[in-house]
Amino acid sequence: MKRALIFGSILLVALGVSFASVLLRRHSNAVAPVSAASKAAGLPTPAERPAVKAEPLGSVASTRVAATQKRGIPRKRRAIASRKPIAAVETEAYRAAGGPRAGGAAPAGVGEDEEKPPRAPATPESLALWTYREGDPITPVLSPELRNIAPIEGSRDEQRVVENERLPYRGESPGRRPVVPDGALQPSFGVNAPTPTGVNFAGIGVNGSAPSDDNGRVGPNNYIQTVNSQFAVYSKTGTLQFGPANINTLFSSLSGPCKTQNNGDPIVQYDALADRWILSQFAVNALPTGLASYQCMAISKTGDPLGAYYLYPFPLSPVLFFDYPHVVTWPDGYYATYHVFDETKPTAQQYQNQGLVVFERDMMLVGLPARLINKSIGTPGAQEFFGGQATDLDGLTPPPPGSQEYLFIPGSPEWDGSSAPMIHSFKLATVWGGSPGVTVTGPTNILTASFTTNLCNFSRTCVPQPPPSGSADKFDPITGEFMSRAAYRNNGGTESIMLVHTVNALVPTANQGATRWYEIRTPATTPTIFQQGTFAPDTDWRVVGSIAMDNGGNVALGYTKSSATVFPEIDVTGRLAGDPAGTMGAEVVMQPGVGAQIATANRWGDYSGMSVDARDGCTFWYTTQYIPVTGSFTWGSRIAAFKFAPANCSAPLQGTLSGTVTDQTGAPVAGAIVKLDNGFSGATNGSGNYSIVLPPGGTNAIASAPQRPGCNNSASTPVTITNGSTTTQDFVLGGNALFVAGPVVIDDTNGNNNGHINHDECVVLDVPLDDLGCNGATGISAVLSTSTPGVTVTQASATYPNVTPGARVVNTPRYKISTSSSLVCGTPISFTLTVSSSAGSQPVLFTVPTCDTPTTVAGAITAGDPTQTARLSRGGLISSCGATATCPLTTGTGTRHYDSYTYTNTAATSKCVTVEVSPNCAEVGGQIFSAAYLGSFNPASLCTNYLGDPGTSPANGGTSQYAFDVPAGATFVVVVHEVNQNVFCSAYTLKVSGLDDTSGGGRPSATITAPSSFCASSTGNTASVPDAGPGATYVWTLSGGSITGGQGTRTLTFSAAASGSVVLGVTVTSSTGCVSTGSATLPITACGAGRAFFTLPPCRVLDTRNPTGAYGGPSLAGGATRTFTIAGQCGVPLTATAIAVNFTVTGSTGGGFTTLFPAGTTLPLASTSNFSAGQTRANNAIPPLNGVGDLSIFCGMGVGQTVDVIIDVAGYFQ
Amino acid sequence: MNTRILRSLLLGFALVALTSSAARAAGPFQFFSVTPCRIVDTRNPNGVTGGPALAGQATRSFPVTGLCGVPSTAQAAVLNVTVVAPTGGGHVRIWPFGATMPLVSTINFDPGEPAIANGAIVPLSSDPSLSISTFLGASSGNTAHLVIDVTGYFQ
Repeated sequence: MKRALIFGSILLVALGVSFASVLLRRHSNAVAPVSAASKAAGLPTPAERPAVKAEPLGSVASTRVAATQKRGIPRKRRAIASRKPIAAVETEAYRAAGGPRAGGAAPAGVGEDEEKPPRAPATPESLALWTYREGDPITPVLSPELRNIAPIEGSRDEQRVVENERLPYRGESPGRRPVVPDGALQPSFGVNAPTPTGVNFAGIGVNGSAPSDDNGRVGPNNYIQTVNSQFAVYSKTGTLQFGPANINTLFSSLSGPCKTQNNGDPIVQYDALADRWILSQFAVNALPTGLASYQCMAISKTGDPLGAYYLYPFPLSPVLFFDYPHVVTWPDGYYATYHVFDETKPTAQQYQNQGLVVFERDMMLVGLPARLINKSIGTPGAQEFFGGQATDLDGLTPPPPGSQEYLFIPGSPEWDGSSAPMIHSFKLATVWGGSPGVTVTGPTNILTASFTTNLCNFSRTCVPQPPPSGSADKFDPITGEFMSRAAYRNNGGTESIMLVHTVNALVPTANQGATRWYEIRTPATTPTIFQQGTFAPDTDWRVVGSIAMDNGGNVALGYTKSSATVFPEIDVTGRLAGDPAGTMGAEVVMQPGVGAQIATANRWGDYSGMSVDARDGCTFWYTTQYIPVTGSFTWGSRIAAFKFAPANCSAPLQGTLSGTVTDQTGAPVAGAIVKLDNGFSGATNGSGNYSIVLPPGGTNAIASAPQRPGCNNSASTPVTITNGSTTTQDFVLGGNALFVAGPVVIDDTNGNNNGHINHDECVVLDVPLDDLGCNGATGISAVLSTSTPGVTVTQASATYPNVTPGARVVNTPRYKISTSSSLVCGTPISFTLTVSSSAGSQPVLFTVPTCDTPTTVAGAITAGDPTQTARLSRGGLISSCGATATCPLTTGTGTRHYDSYTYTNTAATSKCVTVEVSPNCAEVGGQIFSAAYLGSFNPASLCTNYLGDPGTSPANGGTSQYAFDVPAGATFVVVVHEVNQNVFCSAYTLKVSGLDDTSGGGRPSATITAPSSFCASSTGNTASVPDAGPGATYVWTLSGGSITGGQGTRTLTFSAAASGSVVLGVTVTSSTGCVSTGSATLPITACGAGRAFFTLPPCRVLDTRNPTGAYGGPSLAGGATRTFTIAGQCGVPLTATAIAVNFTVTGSTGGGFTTLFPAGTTLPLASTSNFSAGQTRANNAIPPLNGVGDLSIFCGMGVGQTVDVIIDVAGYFQ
Repeated sequence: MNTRILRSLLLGFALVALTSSAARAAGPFQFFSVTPCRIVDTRNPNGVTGGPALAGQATRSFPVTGLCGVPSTAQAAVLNVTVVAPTGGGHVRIWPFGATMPLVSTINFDPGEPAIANGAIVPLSSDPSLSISTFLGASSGNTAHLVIDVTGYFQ
């Protein structure tokens, strides 16, 4: 082969802006001339293209970069990449630094054996956004049926290396290099090998990522392959049924990192006990901290791999990097092993421990909220463990009841500092219940035959290939660690566990990769190596193996073979159960080597996949990568089946238990589960049918419907399974109707019509009821209520049609609520719907969000858009809230077309805004990128006002996400631009969320405008409310006065009472029926100017002892009133309103009282002076006059009695 | 209003200061007359402005504002205070509700007096429900009925 054009490349990646500088140095010495082919293709010149684009390059020789080996690395530990993301980081950075010349393409070839500086720690603010707490159940989302999901197809011109953090190998110390030859070397071929069945087809190929992480599993009817970072579903004859699609296609029903990131490190599992598929990958360096790790798990709802999946975004850590996840199946949980790193620490301290996470399988099988147990094994800097694998059940025979899970970790002096070559064995006892936990027992160290894991002194640049590859293209043997699942088989009570890792068949410093394999037995008591061998039958290298045992006790081992004369090829060997212990047999070529890998960051593997058909018990399925065409990032894969002769292997005895699960109405119950005492289970499909394939024998079955909590579990029912036949067992589940709220419809077309609930808004709600019980209900009525402040239910009652179990019904009429100005934006409204029906009364609780304003816009980058200068480099870092993002370098030349969108945080507080960009560009090579700016965007200065960016460009159909804080009241601009000049994007969507829409809902105002007080007894007063538009009605109430006009209008006219307060009430109803009420209580006060006091020379105004006259006698008579005109006397003017007097009574003929009051007014209930018979009494008083100076005096005495009075005046008020 | 005039006005009336020891002047205020009106009569059935009679050595408080056309904004009221049927001699003090009881008297009376009245200008508290406090300066166990009429207010 030769020297044809290859896809060259570029690369790369690595998380961490600082790593870009390493690349920069690396790449600067490798420049290739652009090929004629690339010009002819009319592609943009490389200078204008993103580094992540693959393009035809020059000759192989010219595209290679001499990847230097690590230098000056600390002895004890170093970090290199683990199987880590993914970010498609730019190569432009190195270009800008003088890399490519005009017309040149960027070559790549990168050794990752580089130290990376620590990442910045997560800020307290971003950590506060990590809300998961240990023990929290994770609620799944049910995906649509996979067959109906639009695949997200990876961009094939985006190349990225899935990193793999460097383990803390001890053997990098020369003093620890072993000199003992391998103690179990098999230097020649044996005889036996599994025979190809004829099924051998191409799996997923070049998709831009490296390494391939190729693995797959076989089920009853399908084979699923997962690679970095795609998956595909095949029939067992190799017919493609779905994909290849990016793995996050599966998770597109979620929100958050499992949806928006497609980071890889996938594992696919088939759970034969439950007939389910489990697909997983990790999401790392994720929001909210930019350092967070998640395990994204999808478990099929039934045995149908193209059906629906329960999606679980399991949070692992806000700050630690959970690398190299390997998920396995065990009856009491799905277990995953990890290498846990802390990227914020100095390189030598980044490795933390062997991570172990157990996921709550029982809950996942039924799609209920599931927990996880997160456990660390080992102590950083002290006893460190790495490279372990947990046992994964093969076949139809479960481990003995109550069996613990087992974990095996390699150990040796040069590996982890162990005293001798050994396997660290652990037992893992998991309990769920109220206090989940896993008890780790161990390690029990099992001494092995001598081996060394020191290949190439742990450099990735290690496995030789034929020319045209060069020494810099040698690839990673993944030495030392158990790469693939610990395959467990319970063969008639004999428990066997198969392990494999790559070792050095020679004594260092000579190197030849070989596969060391083990069969471990009696794990429950004393785990013992039953046999072991290092398969090195010739001088070729055999690496990245995977091993399994069939139902006959025979073994198949698949691996990559390569050497300076053999292109990397896929081979399988094996052994019959009776073959000499520790030996493998002949070698079957599954895929001959045809090309060499160039410039792919030396990556290979990082694992491969050997699995066994659980039901036929004998067919091995193997998949791994090879190189169909010499080049960079050109790997392909094969999937093939093998089996030993029937004389050596037969299917396990098995029968089928099947039937139908129905409810009280006889309707099928979908999503029910039938669980057997022996650990098997089956889920019902849409027709209520289940089918379980299991070994013969008697057991008990219980049917339940966890997705229908109103259904009761069935009684435990004995069933007998017979080999080769089907046992039918139907179940009818009891239970009443049980209501839960379906998706609530918010209709605010009578408000501001923005689709969510705002303050001062009338909103119509539809609250569907789902009957999650096993019987129907009739006569359904409901009353809606809420205690959330600022919310009033104005139409609370509704009825629903009769419902059948599993169905949904909708209310009539629609519920109505109104909100007030006191509604707190962003706080969900908690409702209680009290549902009455033939099934009794049930409270149904639900919440509805407020002011939540994700806005989605559809856009396109076209030639008519404005342009910016160059663009930002895609640094692979996701901007997060709670931390200030650093603007990446700009890159490229020329201009880029962009769209910009302006938003404002109208809230009174800072908001964490999340931006999601989803391209669907029809243009070949069309890619978009996004960034956000505070205040304004300057297209000529891309880092001015920079707020954040997503670090990468998503694939078509995918989504990139980033977040940033926006201060209260601030405006920000989101820019979406083309990555390549004049390579447009015909369609994308932009979603901006996290802002509260603080605008009002347009509810009519009932705020009363009126004077702050009213004059006593005043008339013609008015009060009003704002105009509520045509058709509005206004109903007023009033106390403390009388309505004189304006009732029914927005302005009321009224008179005030003489004293007290005016209390106004108004009910405003808009034409749409939106009601507001207002009230006001306003004091009644005396009006006019107050009166001032004027003194007078003391002067006697009247004395009834004097002769009869206007100011003299006669005496006052009991029960009579006498009136005097005061004005004009003693200087009191006509305008005086009151006088200050000394009032004297004398000469009374009996006891009594007197009352001074304004003339012409009704005698008040009041008195001025009291006296007994004959008493003389003086008293101060300020009696009011009647406005014209007249004062009346009432004599409160018996008729016929008299008293004289004297008034002396000292002053007056006016 | 001119403070000199107010002072001269107050000379003729029993004035209750805000506090006995640290009186603070407020004002000037203007005068508003109201139709003479009864606010309190403890001979009436028990209630806020009714019975029971004042008890010797006890304090009792009454509303003024909000009644008889005296607004909540009134600062002082022009009252006629009548003591009826005291069971012994003594005095009654009146001061703004909420303030310390001052060393003053508003009206004095002898034993056996059937009824005796005096005019008074009393500052009012700003409390919306209670304006003035009263104290019956008589031996413990004695009682006296109290009648309060209003003829105007200052604000």
